[in-house]
Amino acid sequence: MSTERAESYPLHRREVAQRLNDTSGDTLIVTGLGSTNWDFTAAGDGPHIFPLWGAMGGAIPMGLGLALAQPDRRVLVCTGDGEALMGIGSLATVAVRAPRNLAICVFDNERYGETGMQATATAHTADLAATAAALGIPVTGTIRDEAELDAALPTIRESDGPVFQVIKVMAERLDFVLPARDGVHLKNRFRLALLGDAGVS
Amino acid sequence: MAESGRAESYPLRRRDVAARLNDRSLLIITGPGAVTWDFTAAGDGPHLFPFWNALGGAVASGLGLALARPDRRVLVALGDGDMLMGLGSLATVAAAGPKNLAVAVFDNERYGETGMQATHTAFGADIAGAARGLGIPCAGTVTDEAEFEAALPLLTQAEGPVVQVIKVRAEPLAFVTPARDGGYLKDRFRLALLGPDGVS
Repeated sequence: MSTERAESYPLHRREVAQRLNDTSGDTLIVTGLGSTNWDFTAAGDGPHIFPLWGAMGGAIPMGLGLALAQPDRRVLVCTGDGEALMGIGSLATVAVRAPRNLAICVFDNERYGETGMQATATAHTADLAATAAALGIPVTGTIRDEAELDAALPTIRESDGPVFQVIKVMAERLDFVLPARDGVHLKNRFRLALLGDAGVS
Repeated sequence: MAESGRAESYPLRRRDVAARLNDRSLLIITGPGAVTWDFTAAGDGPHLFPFWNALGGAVASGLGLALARPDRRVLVALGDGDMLMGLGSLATVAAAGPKNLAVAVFDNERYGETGMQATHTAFGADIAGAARGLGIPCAGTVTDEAEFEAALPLLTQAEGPVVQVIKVRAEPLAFVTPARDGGYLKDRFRLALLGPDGVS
């Protein structure tokens, strides 16, 4: 077991978010609480992003519901390893419902970032991609460097899902870049962009 | 994945499985619902700590007990619905790695207490595969009598942590309920394990 190795992973989470953040607004993005929120806000905030400030463990089921409700739109959930571990059972529900338009990326720095960088289970033995495959997700993988990220981007953006990709990122302390804190505003801006005026009336 | 009615013809019967696992030298935690009725039917006693509730909490509770009492063998027996609700606790079991902990999942692919609705395992979710993915190498699935006999020493003696998923028939059975008083159930278990000091 290694709890130090993540400090030398080559991929930086802010650069990964930059590559995944489709600022055209075509992709609907749900970000899990904590660092993935800050990463996507830094990469370019906008109404195509619905950042969860709380509800740890809830990002994947939120993305599942959105993907089922909007089958003609690509939905991308980006969350951390701690957040995904807290709701790991939701992957079984994703597998049963099997939305083709859903992709999930776990930014895995093997740490609980918000509480002081304590090691998560992925720093020990947990392999989230293998777990997702066992629960029935058809497309799974683990990305460890730039070349693997390049190869996986079309899968994340376009392949028939559900897609589940673990992206091993460096355990590093970064400045917080915060989106709005008002949940109603975040919900309304997202619904307005997606549904038009009818979505908020 | 399509839902399957296959569990109605699985050969292993849950009450028989419980009778063979109910060894009074073990410390046994049973998850809420049918597994608690199974072990009560198999022979109630202070070696059992039955959960009446706290769906998802049986494995985590067994982990704590196994870490607190490394000299005793701890068996957690629970249903597939319970295991799915607390699946992430297997990652913590793997990280802590208690050698004296075994988990037996009675998998009838149903939520029994709420009306036998299909769980995710009816659609193909592989709990043993998930356990291996989370870091528990000694994890397997048992589907018939011969496999169960081979798995018994894994559950009762092998170096843990061990997870065995036992596919059991989906069948409605008479409830055989233990005492309902949580304070009493806790005290009888502590008294048997720790003696009078455990309840003073």
